[in-house]
Amino acid sequence: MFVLRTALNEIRRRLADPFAFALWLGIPITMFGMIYLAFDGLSGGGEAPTAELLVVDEDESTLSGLLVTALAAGGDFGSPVVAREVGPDEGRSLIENGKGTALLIIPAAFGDDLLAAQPTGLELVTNPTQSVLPQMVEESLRLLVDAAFYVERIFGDQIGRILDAGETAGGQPSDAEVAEISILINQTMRRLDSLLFPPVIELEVVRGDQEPGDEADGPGFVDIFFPAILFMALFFMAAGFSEDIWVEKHQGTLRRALATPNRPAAFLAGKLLGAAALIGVVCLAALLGAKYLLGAAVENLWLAFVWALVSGALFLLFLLALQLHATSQRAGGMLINLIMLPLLILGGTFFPFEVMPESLARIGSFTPNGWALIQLFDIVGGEIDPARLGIGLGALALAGALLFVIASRRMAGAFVRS
Amino acid sequence: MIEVESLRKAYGDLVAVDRVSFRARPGEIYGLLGPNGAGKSTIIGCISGLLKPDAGTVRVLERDVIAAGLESRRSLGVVPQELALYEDISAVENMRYWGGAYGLRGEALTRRTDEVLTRVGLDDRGREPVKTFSGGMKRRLNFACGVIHNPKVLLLDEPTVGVDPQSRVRLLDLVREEAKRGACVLYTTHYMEEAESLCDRLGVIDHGRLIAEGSLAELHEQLGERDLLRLSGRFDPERVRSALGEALAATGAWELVQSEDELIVLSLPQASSRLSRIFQALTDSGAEVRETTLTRPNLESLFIKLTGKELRE
Repeated sequence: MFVLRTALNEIRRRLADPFAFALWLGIPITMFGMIYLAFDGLSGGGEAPTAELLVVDEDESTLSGLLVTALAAGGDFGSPVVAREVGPDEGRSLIENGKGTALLIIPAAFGDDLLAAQPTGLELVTNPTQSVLPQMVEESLRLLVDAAFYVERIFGDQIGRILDAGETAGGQPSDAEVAEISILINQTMRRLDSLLFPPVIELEVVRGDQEPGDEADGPGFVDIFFPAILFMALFFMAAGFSEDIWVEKHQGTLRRALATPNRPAAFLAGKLLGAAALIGVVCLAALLGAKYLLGAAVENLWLAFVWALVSGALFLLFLLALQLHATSQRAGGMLINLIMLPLLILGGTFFPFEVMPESLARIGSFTPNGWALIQLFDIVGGEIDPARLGIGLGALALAGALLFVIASRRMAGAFVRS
Repeated sequence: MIEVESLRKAYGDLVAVDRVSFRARPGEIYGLLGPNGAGKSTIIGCISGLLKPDAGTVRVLERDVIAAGLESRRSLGVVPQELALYEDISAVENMRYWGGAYGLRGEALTRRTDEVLTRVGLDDRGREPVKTFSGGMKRRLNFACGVIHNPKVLLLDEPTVGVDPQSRVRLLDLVREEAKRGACVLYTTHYMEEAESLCDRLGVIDHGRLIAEGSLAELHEQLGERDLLRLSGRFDPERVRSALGEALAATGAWELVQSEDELIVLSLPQASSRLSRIFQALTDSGAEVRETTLTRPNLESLFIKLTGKELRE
């Protein structure tokens, strides 16, 4: 009975200070919102930002035309760079007014110099008001320049003959010239065959619920970020709740509670139960919100709820055990931050595993929160392995029992007496 | 009844309570008087089961507080020195929580909450959050939470610290009422006047040791009918001792309780009739007296006599 009374008391206290409660939730929600907006989430497509490349073609040769065509076609193939051909004055005016990401100037005689293997150059003027997109343009252009270099090295003769033939025959090479050039290209390709084309093995990744050939959409922004943000909220809530033990100590309510005819474990269990109830409300609201408001793929809603709730309660117990071993509230706060932040970063909570380097993601999957997060991903993704889940729940129960015993003894012992 | 026998509690090298023994009876207010850090709160902690004694025994209503902790705590009411209240919730919610912790439920809990809130004069503010209360109101609520279950044994650890005079008078009346209904009250304080006006029996404690015990009359008897003369100024302790020895040789029972460069305290009978002789002796010793206080025998005199120092806050 005392457990329930303490739990209700805990809930009353929390609800009496809704600002603090909202603050814990506000931090992860704000972060979610910022990331969401940064990735243009509100447009619904979650599309990556694109760079607009303004191109001035002063050469107007066949090769420069090919380069412009290649750049302009980038956007159609998912490249982040979209090119637009402009006149020299218009191009400079636009870039000076901060319009466009960069201005590419292809100088006169660019094509001739390239075919003659003479040094030539391209001028790229970037927009100083942008930081990331100009770098993307620069990298894309560097790739194209490298490609042009190798094409010239391999097919330089053939391209030269095509251009020469076009010029000498009024713009149209004869059938014999076309056939001869084709044979030369074919022979060159055969020589390069073993180098350019590896054995033809096509890997098609198909999800369990899809037929081969189906277009796989992959997880969207909300699917990737939502479980991580939920775990972040749980961590912040757990940190806040765990600190409350210092409040109880300083205001004397802990001593008073321990002087009542109830076991210390009952008091601790009541506090945990109250906190868990609030954590549960947040978990359920987050899961329902993600599923029905944001359209996240949330399978096994109730199992996901139970898993998130148990994980949150365990975070709380873990952080509470740390607080109880600290020498002061300040030291407790520092200790929590010292341990919590690396766990959050490594464990896929700040940055989802999908966007982390593989080696870091592998390490992160071994952190307690990282492991729990992966299980939550699997649960909401509909990929439940009953055996693994059973072992997981058993491990959580064991860890919880151990942490509870440690926290309870410490609270009624050295912590309250210090 | 509270029975404490040869209680000892140390924190590392610091002996907080050293072989303390006393008994407090039902219907009696037993005061533990001593300065801050004397060991009073440690004794309360040992009785309430929060601290485990290193040696000795503590029994509440004949139950050992260690061997039968839960049972002995059932009959205990504790009013701690801190304002052990949840400030965000209301007075009623606080009282219901602490009452529930002692097993009160339903109608009985509601009735006791109303009764006690009325007794402490907070019935009109019961629904308001505690954080809106004044210091005195919080002290009264702190007391109310400790007595809501009608405890047979009540431990009060300096319950009037920082309280305005009006609230203090009210609190002391409430403590007397608890004793009147038959509760055994253990009251710790470092306020002499509180101890004198409230307690039936007193234990004087200093540096963890019980240095005197008894009713007020018994303690006065120990003190004798001596006055306490307190002089501040500039003194040479050795020359003062010598000069006073000569001047008061015929007096017999006099004692230099405290002798420092800027303060001397004398204990002697009928001090007022010997003032001129004392001042003459001090002048002869080269002393410069700036302030003089003559105190009739009271607890403070006793404390100074027993410990050689004043009861400081």
